Amino acid sequence: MTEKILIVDDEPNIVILLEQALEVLEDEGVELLTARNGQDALEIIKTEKPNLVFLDIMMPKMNGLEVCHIVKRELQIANIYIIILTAKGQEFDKQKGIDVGADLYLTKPFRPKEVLEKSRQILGF
Amino acid sequence: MLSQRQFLKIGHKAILKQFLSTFLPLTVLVGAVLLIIHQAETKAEKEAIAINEIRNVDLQVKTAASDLLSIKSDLMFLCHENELQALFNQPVDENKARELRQAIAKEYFYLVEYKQLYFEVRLLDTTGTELVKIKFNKGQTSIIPDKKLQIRIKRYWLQDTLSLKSGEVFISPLDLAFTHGKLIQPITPTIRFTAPVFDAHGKKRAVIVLNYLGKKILDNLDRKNSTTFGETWLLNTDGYWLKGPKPEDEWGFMYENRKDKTFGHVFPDVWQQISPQESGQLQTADGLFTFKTLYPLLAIKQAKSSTGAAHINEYSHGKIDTQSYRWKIVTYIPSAVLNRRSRSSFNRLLLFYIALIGLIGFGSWVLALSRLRRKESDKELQATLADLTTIIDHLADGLLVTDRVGQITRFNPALLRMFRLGNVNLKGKSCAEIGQAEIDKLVKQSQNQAQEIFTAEIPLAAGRVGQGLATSICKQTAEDDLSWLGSVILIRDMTVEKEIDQMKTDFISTVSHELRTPLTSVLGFASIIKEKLETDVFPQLNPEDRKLQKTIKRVADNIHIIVSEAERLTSLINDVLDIAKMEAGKVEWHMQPLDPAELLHVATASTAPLFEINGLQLFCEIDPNLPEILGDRNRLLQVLINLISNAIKFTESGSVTCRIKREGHNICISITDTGIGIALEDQPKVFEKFRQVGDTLTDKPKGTGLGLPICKQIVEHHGGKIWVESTPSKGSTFSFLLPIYSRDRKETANLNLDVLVKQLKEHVITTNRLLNESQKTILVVDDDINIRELLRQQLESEGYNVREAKDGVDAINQIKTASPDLILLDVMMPQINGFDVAAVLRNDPHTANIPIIMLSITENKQRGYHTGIDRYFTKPINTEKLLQEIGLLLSQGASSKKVLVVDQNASTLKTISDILQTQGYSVIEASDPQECINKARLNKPDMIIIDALFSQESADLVRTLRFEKDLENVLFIIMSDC
Repeated sequence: MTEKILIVDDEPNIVILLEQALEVLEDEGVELLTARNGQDALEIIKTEKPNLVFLDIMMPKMNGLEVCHIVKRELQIANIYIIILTAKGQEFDKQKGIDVGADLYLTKPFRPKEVLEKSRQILGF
Repeated sequence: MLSQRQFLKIGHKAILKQFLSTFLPLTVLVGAVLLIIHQAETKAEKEAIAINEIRNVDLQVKTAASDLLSIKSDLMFLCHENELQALFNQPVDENKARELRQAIAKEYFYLVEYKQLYFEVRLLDTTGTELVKIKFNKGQTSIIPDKKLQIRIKRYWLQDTLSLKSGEVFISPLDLAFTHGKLIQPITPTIRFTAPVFDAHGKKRAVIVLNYLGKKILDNLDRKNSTTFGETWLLNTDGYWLKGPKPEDEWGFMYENRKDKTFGHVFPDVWQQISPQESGQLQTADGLFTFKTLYPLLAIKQAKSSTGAAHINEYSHGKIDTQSYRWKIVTYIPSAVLNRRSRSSFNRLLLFYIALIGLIGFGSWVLALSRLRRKESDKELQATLADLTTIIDHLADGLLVTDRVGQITRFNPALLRMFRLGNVNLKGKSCAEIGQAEIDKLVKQSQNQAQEIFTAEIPLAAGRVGQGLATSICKQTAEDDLSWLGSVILIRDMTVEKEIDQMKTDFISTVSHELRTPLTSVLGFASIIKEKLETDVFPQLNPEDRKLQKTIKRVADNIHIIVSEAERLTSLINDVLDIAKMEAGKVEWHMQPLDPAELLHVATASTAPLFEINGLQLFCEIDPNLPEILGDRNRLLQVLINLISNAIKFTESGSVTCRIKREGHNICISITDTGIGIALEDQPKVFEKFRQVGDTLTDKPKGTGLGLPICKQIVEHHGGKIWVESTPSKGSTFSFLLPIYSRDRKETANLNLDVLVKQLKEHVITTNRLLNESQKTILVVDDDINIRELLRQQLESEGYNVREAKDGVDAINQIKTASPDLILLDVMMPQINGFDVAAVLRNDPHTANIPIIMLSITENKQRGYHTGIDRYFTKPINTEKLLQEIGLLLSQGASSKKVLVVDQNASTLKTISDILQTQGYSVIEASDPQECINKARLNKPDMIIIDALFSQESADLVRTLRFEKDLENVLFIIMSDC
């Protein structure tokens, strides 16, 4: 089964960054998917069922926390690891993250190498 | 009583009115009473006087009568006298007769002498010839010699007497005595008592004449002999005064010019009344007359009298009857006297009245003043109350006052507005009744701890929000005792403040987001570019081309600069936001009991690489038995790391010493360096924002300049103090105090997480001991032979099997041959450093999971973690801790330390996660057994910690998971509350 990673962020630069950071995995058979807002993300999750999602919070239409909540709590989709990306630094409300069922959070700015590491860990590569 | 001001304010009229209102009625009342008393008194007295007068008159009459009677008895006695009888009953010669006469004279003499009643006593024969005569004059009694005796007296009374029978007596009226045709002077009131003398044969032989001194009777009537208040008069039948007001008024009938001196003349009306009456009393305008009639003829018994003669030589004009010979004894109390008596009594009462008036006046005055004062006080009180009420009514905040039982005693319009209660009266209701549960709670809190002030958020009407502040009303009853009387609650509408607050939070969020997002791109892409260049581009280039290589180096350096500056920018943003949050009070502080020594160790560990790079020495002086402090672990670490970093930054060579001491109620931590120091005038500035010490032109700022201000905020939030002592060129000491955590204070029992973690660790070790029976092998990699030796000894004594490698290459070779269970890796080694060794090992799947402990880290711990380091230690090595960690890691089995925590309570979950994360575990969270299973399958944790609440399902859980691939050896730890 192909491993899939979904990258969700309304900032195009960030998406490109993450794509480039995870490029290596593509060679190892992982499919990289992207979405630019919460709604699209949700659709893709439903249809493509990615194993790992990098989810930005501050997005139009539907923010990251909502998406996470729907995926984890309402739809209760299994086998999906959600990493929240937040620009809030120390202000990020961890409790909210826990409440919606996120598995991990990363603060921006992050190191591309770190992202890659984590992905490998999670996917088991 | 009243102040001058008050006095004037009230005004004389008011005082007077008040005064008179009590004074007049009382005066009148008392006057009336006294008047009545006076009347009664007067009446009583009058009656007494009347009775007294009557009695007096009675007595006088009796006395007079008695006196008269006694005279008659004298006379009778004389009539039957022996010698006299002998004279008449026996034949006697001259001499004998003379003898007898002498004897009789002697008798008469003694009679007069001792009785002192008579001024003349005579014995006359029937012809009127004096046989014996005794005279009493001027106190001298004398026997009149024979030759002086008168012969043949012709008096009317003689004939009258001679006509009497035996036992009868003749008395003349009481009049003045005559002699030789003239009144005897001094005037001599007389009554003549005469009686005939009978011989044995009953033949009248002689007459005895007693001239009675009427004065006696008159004297008896004198004031000194009577009890009358007035005068006593004696009136004869015709009303002439025999004893009268004045001597001139008396004996009117005896003088030519006094013929009108009668009682009737002076008091005609009275005479008219009393004349016909026996006795009586009457009051006229003149006075009080009391009278009684005395009939002397009746009193004397068998007495006769006649009218007397107009002329002394004449015969009487006939006998008068007993009724006609009468005296009236009259007492007269003139009105003046009566009035005087009455008046004196009146005066007495008047004086008394005046005294009473004085008293009443005084009393009324006092009363008036006090009443008015009270009225004034009341008015003032009312005014004050009105003021107070006005003030309370105009407060913008809502005011609520409750009594002991929680009932509302006072409130204001603002309160009603806040809760949209309308126009109701809240008095007497309880807070719960009006739907204010929060206020009720506040009141109860305030009641339980009267000395504290409590606040709470109170929801207001229309979605607004307020803050309530409750204080107790206490009264000091006894020395130590405070009695709680109620509570005062002030409620302020904080909706606006809250909105502003929210705006601040939003602003900070936005700013941080907006700043960090572009930074992510910069840092991210720069890193990627660097990576790509290094791995893909540069290797492709011609290494021989010097110029190219130079360019390559230039490019690499430039990108490196971009990356590090981006990192620095990140740091700066973090600091700025940090301090902004702290100042806005938006930081969430996670306070917990901490061990200061442990904090210092963590801080020194993470700054160890800096020491290495700068070639500085670290010294630690820590007091034993330090008490705990209460603080936010991350923030305090931030402070320590900041201070240590600064110390290193500003020290060229030498050392940094960290000290922890106990000082009273505080812990004092100080970081001393041997650096460039800070000038005295600069010392206060170091804690100011954005200040860097040093010449801004020559010295480039190192860091953001926010480090120390942030430290200050953190320390002060913990209730501590931070300061610096420094000598330029010698060094500086930054110290801060933190209060000791005293467990006496009642605090809500927090989960004692340190204990939990310790227990966890121990639990993990013990449970694991069963699994890991075989002896573990540890590879020690260090170029320093002494350290290798040291570690070997320590580890072998713990029962581990130890292998040594002297450098990285040796280590890799050894590992390739036989994998140890754990690697202790030094960083600074020749040829290939520890990091690279770790990286190599990680890349090889066979060795990727061997736990690695770095014995010192260079650069930063991020890198350490990044390369998969599990633990880091600084030299000098705390062997105890090292062994513990080794034990832990080995017993964990794998190097990635994944823990799945399952707890229903989100905050407990979060707390445990945090703790475990800081301990270096990788934590996955789950809130229920199902999630736990899902996550466990996905993440393959090494350890699962489950809250006991799920114990029912946990048995199933364990069974389920054990069947999963790779989860057979997962450690399950069940957490319970005890």
